[in-house]
Amino acid sequence: MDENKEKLAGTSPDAEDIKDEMEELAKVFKEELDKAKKEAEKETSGLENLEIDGYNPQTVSRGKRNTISEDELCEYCGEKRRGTDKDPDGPYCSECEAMLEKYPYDYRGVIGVIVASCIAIASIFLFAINVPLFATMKQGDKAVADGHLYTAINKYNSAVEYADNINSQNRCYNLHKKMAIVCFDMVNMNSALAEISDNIPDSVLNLLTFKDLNVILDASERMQATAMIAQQYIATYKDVTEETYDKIIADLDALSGKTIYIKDNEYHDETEKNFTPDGTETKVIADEGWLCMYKYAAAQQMNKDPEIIAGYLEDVANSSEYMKTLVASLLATTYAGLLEDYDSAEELAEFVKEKNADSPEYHMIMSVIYRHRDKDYAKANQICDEGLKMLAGLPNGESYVMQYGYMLQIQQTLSYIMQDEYDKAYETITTAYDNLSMTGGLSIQVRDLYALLALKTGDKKTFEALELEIDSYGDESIAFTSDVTDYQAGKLTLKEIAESGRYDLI
Amino acid sequence: MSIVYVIVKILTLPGAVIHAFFEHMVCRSAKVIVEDERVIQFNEMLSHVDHQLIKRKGPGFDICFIPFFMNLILGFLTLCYGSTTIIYYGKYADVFGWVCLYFGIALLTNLFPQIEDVMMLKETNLDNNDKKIGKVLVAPLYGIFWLGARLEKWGLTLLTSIGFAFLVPVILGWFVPALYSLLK
Repeated sequence: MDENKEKLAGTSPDAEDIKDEMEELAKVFKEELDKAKKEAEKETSGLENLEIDGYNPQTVSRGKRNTISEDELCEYCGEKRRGTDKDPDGPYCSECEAMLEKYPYDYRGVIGVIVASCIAIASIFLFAINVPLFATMKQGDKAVADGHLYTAINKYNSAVEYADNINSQNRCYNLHKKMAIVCFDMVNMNSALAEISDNIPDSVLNLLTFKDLNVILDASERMQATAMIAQQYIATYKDVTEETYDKIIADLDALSGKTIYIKDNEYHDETEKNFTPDGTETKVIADEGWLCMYKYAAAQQMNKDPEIIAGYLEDVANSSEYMKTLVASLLATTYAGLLEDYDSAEELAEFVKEKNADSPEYHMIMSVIYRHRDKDYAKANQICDEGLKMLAGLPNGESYVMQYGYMLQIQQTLSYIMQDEYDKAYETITTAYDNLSMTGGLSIQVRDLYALLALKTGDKKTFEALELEIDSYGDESIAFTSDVTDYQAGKLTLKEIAESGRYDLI
Repeated sequence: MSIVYVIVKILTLPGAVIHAFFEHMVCRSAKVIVEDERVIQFNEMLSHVDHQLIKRKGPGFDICFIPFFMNLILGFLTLCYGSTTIIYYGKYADVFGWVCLYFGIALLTNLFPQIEDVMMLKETNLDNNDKKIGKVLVAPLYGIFWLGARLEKWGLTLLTSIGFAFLVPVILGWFVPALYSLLK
């Protein structure tokens, strides 16, 4: 150790040699360093002149790259140091972050928003134009839900008018479907069928959403075919007599469950000997309800016992909801007027009210019940007044009073007769007769009561005018009933006629 | 992501593109970095706006709510005519009615935010929110968005929007006839 120290201090005998050696080494190092520097300068000057196709490596910040690690570079440009003043640890440099914050919108998105906005504005505008149609149709729907079918059909008719005013070519098929269904529920089948055939093409009828309408159409076709075949059978007998009655009933019974063939508006049943089906016909099964309906008609014409008549009507009512609606008031007045079964009659009154609260049938049935069961003629009159007011309060109420008011006016007339108020009775039945005449309708009961009261009050002119009218038809089936002739002959009194119950069956 | 999701997105492309546009709009207004917005690409990235994670309350809510609200309003307005004309009136020959019905269904099918945006909404507005009222207000929306995002993942929002198209005439029926009667 001490020896070395001496050497370094130059105090030892070999110090001079070492010093010389060190100086020589320093000289060599310096020479080598100068040489390296010169070579480096040479290389740099060569690169300065190197430029290919506009690419100058000098412009590339190689120095920086060498100084910033990959992890610290901006994720977007990959050149600058990541992080901003706001977020030093962020993945982007300040320039890229500013640019990404204002990333340009995709032009397709802009177009989409403009188009959607235009469509939305046009949609609202067109919807606003259609608001009367929409509101009226909705009011119709509400009326259907509440069981006010006359109101509903009125609203739907108004909606069709609105729709036709906007564009008569572009039909609202759902609206026509709803009208047809309401007509069917009102037991107004012809009107329903007319609506369908006029306004809804087959291509639309085949849609799944029109399935309910197809069910109605099938039922209508079946009922119509049965009615036609039944009429054909009855027509073979000139008149319904005691002799032919049993044969008619047997024929109608034989039709039960049989297939009916429809082709070119002609109807044939499978028992027909002169007919051979060729496969192109439409086939339906005879409707039990309508067969019973014709049995009832024959029994009624033969003045059969009330039990037999009611039995056939019960069979009709039990066959389907449609047929029950069709005969409900008839069955109820039969129960009340002929069989004194007032509970069943009241049940049916509730049924008809539920089916169609706009119909005067409920008021009519209740009036019959009050008159026969309670002998309360004032109450019977009062409920008829309520019914007439209800009809008058409907949209287009006047026309409903003209068409259906006579059902109630007959009841009022009968009540007045029972109270010996013949002038009031005559006045009421005159209104009923005039209203019906104006609508082109005919009711044998109205006409006969009109004739009877004309005789009672001494209005011979009116009675003669009625006789002339009957003669002008030349049809014996609509001649005065035996009640009129018996009254003329003094065999019956007006009160007996009113109490018979025959004028309750409408 | 299921193939059904991609198919439903393609079928309802206008609605998907418009939802993406509103999402992008929120990003721009809230200065949220958008990294990619190629909305029309026929894979699971269709209508996806690739944006940075949001840590703020306001943008976290807006990015879910505003596109949802705008698609809902536009879709409902478009269905006012489309649904009533085609579904309620049955005017099958009305071409513009069909256009409105398609656009309305497309817009309503793409109502809901992406599930990651819903998670951000939860994090920013429910988990890290001190205000109870804010939480109460946001929680039902979070539930709706979460459910909607899940349904959308399986393309089921197409069915819900078709169902809604059938409901539109019913909804309009609650107040339009009454308003019409009042004005008449």
